[in-house]
Amino acid sequence: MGKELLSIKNLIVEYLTIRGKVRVVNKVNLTINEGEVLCLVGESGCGKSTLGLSILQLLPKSGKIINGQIIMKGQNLLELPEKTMNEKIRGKEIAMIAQDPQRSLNPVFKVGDQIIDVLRFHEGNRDQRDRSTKNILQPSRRKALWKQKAINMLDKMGIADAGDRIREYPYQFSGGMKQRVVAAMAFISNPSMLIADEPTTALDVTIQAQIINLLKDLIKEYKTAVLYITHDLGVAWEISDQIAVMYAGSIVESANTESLFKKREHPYTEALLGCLPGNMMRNKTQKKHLNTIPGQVPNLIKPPSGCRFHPRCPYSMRICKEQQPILREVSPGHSVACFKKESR
Amino acid sequence: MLRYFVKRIVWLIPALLGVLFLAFFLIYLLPGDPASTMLGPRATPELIKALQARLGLDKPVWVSFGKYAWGIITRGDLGESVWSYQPVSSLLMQALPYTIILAVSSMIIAITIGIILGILASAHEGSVLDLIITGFSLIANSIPNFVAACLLLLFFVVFLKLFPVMGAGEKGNILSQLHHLILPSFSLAISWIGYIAYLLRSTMLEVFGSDYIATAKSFGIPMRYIAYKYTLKNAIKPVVAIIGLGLGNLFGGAVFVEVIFNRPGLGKTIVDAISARDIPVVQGGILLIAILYVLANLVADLSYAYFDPRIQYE
Amino acid sequence: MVDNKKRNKHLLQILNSFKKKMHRQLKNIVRIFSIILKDRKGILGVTIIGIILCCAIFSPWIAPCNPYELNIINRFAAPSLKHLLGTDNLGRDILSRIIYGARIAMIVSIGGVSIAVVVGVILGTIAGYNVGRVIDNGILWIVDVIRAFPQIILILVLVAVLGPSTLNMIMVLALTAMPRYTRVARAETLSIKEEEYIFAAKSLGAKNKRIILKHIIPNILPPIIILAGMDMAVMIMIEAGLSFLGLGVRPPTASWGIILRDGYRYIRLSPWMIIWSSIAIAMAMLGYSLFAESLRIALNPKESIEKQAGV
Repeated sequence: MGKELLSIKNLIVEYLTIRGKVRVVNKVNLTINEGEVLCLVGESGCGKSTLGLSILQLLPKSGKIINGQIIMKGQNLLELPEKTMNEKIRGKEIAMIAQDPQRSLNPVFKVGDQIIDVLRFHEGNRDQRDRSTKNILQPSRRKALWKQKAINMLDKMGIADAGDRIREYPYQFSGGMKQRVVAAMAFISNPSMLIADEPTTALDVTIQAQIINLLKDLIKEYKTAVLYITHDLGVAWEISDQIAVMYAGSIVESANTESLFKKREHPYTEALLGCLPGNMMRNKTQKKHLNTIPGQVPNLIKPPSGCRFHPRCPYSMRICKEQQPILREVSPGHSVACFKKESR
Repeated sequence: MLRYFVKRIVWLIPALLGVLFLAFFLIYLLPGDPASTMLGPRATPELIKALQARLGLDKPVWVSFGKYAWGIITRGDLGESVWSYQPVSSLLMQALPYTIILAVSSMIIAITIGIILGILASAHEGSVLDLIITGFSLIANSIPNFVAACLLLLFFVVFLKLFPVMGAGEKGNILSQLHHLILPSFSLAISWIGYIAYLLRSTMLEVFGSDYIATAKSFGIPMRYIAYKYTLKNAIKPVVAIIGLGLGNLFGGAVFVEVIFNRPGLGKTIVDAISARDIPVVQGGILLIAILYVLANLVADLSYAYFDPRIQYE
Repeated sequence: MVDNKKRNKHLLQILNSFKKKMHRQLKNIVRIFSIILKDRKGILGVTIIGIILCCAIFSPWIAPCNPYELNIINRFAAPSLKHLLGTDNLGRDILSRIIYGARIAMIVSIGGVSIAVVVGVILGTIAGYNVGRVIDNGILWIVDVIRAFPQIILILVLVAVLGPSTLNMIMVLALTAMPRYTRVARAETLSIKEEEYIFAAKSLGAKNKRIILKHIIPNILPPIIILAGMDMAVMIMIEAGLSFLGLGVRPPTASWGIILRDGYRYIRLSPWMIIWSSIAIAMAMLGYSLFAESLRIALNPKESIEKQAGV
C-alpha cells in the first residue's frame, strides 16, 4: 500500500495482579503501513487490547511496558514525554475508539462540548487565521468555527439534526449513536492512524453493520491507517487488508486478508476458522456440531513452556514444548510462528 | 422539578406537625409538676397557679395544644418568656442572625478549604502531599466543634493573645464583628474541612478510573483540564449533597460554639433558657431550629435533584 | 416412641444447619477482619479502639492513681513523673481520669447503639412487614419527626428536661440514633417481602416469619455494622459535649467532657486539661472513623480486590 507508518518492535507488557506478574504482550513485532487496515484478531484475554493501549501509553496503573519500541515517523513513541503525547499524538496523529460506547462519554457535559474539547486542545494553541482576510481570529470566532466543524462531523457520522443534537447530553443518545459521536471525535483532527478496539462488540448486530459500514467509508475518505482489534473473524474479513492473529500474547500468524483465509498456516488460525458457523457444513461427520478448540485459554501467569499453543495443538512435536517459535515468512507477505510449518 | 418540589413539601407537613407537638409536649416531660419545678422551692401556691394558667397547664392537653398551634400558625406567637415576659418570637429573632452568620461563614470556609485540599490530594495521589492532606483530613474530621473551640481558644487567645474571647463584637462595627467571627467559624469548620477533603478525594479518584475519563485521556486532553473540569463536575455531586446537610447540622453544632465564645445566637439562647428553666423559650427555640434544619435538608435534596435530573423520576 | 425419634432427628438436623451457618458466618467475619488488618487505616483504627476498650475494662488496674483522690495543694501541676499528664483543678491525676473516662465513653456508646439497633431494627421490620399501612406510616412518621431535629439539639433539650443522668443520656442517644436503623431494616424487609411472597404462597403460614428473619438479618448486617461504628463515635462525642455543658454525667465522675469543661473554666491557669481531653476525644473518634472506613472498603468487593493486589 503505502510506506511504513507505525512499527512495533519487541514489545513486552506485563500486568501486576493479586497472583503475580502476567506477561500479556510477549515480544510482539508488528507493522502498519499508511492507509492500510490491519486487523488484530484473537480471543478475549490474548493481549490485543493491551497492545492497542500500549501504543498510546494508556495502560492502567497495574500495567508496565517492560521493553520494546514503537516507531512512528522516525520517532519512538515510548520515549516521548507525556505532554508531547497529549498534544501531538493522542487524538491528533493517532485516535482511538474504545469498546463500550455506553461509558465512553462524560455524562455531565454536552456532546458538542466534548467534541469541541478535542479540537481545542490540538488546534487551540496556534493562532488560527481567517481564510478570507488572513487576520488572526478572535476567540469567539474561533469557537464558532469549532462548533461548526463539530456539527459537520456529527452530520457526517450519520446523526440527523446535528445542529440541535450538539447541545444534548450523552444519556439522550443510543449506544450506536454514542459510538458515532466517539467516531466524530476521532476523525475530527484527521489522524493518520486509528486504533479501533472492538468498537462494535457492545452493540446490536444490526447497529454493528451500520457502524462498520460507516467506518469503511470514513477510512476510504480519510485514508487513515487502522489497527482494528476484534475477535470476530467475519468483521476482519470485511474490513481489513492485513490480518495478524494473536494468541496468548504473541503474534502467531500475519498475512494479507485473502491469503490468510485461503491458506491458514498456523494451527490456531486453522482451528479458529474451523469454528465459524459456516464451516459446520464442511464437517465430514454427519453430526452438526459447532467446532471448538479443545482445551482452555492458557494461564498467563504460568504459561505453557515453549510454544504457548502446544497443549491444544493437534500437530505438536517435541520441539514445540521446548522452544518458542518466531514469526518467519513462509510465502510472500505471509508469516507464521510455528515449527511445523517452518520445516516445510 | 416543580412536581418534585411540591411532593417533598407535602411530605413535610405531617412531620412538622409532629415537631410542633413534640415541642409543645416538652413541658409535660418535666419530672413532677412543671410549674413548681420551674419556679423552684420558694414558690408560693399562688405563683404556681398563676404560672400554670399562663402556660395553659390547667387546661386539657388538646385544648392547650390547639391554642399553642393556632397561635403559632396564625400569628407566629410562641408565647412569652417566663421570667422576662418578653415575647419568645422577638427573643429568638434577635438571636437568629448571629447563628445564621456563623453557620454560613463556617460552611463557606469549610467548602473552600475542603475542596482545594481534596483536589490537591487526588491530583497528586500517592505523593507525600497526598499523605499529609489525607492524614490531616482524617484527624480534622475527628475533632468535634467544641473541642476545636477549646483548642483554638487555648492557642490563639490565651497563648498568642491574638483574638478577643467573648461576644460577637461591637454592633455596627463590621471589622470587630468579623474579628469575633473568625475563631467560632473555624471551630465549626474544622471537622467539615476534613470530611469534605476526604470525601472529594475519594470521589475524584473513583471518577478518575472511569471509562469516560480514559476516553478523554486517549484523545489527548491534558491532565489538568481533566482533573479540574471533567472529573470535578462529576465528583462534586456528593459534596453538594453534603453541603445542604452540613448547613443543617451546623445550626445544631452552633450551640456549643456559641456557648463557649459567648455569642448571643440561637443556641446560646436555648442553653441559657434551659438553665433558667424558661420552657417557652426552649420550646420556641427548638421549633425554630427544627424548621431551619428541615428547610436546609429540603434545599439540599432539591439541589441534588437539580444536578442529577434522573433522581426526580425515582 | 416413633414420634420422639423423629423429633430428635429433626432437632439434630436443625442444630446441624445452625452450626453450618455459624461456621460460614465466622469464616466471613474472619475474612473481613483479615482484609481490614492488611490496611494501614484498619490497623490503626482497630488498635485505637482496642486501647480505649482496654482502658475501659481494666481501668482499676491500668490507672496509676485514684481518679477521685483530691490533692488541692498540687493542683494545676504540669506533667511530671508522678503525674504523667499533670493534675487538674482539684489536684486529681489527669491520666487516671482520662483512663476512667474511657469507661463512660464505652458504656454510653455501646449501650446507646445497642438499644438503637435493636429497637430500630424491630420497628423497621414491623413497618415493612405485613402489618398494614397505618402502622407502617405511623412508625415512619415518628421516625421523620425525630429526624426533623438536629441530633444534638434534641438530645440537649430532652436531657435537660428529663434531668441530667447517665441513664437518661443513653436513652436519648438511642432515641435519636434509632431512625437510621429503622429505615434500613424497613427497606430490606420490603424488598425481601416481594421475593418471599412467592415462597410463602407454597409454604406454611408459620414459616413465613422465620424465613424472613433469616434473610433480613444477614442482608442488613453490613450497613448496620458500619452505621453502628459511626454512631458509636458520634455518641462518644455527644456525651463529651453534654458533659461539657454540665448536662451529662455528673461530677465527680470522670468523663472526658467533664475534664474538658474544667479545662475550659480554668483555661488561663492550666492548658493540660484541655490538651489531654481533646486528644482523648479526637483519638476515639479517629479510631472509629478509620475502622468504619476500613470496614466499608472491606465489604465492597471491587475495592477490596484492588487492595489485595497492592495496586
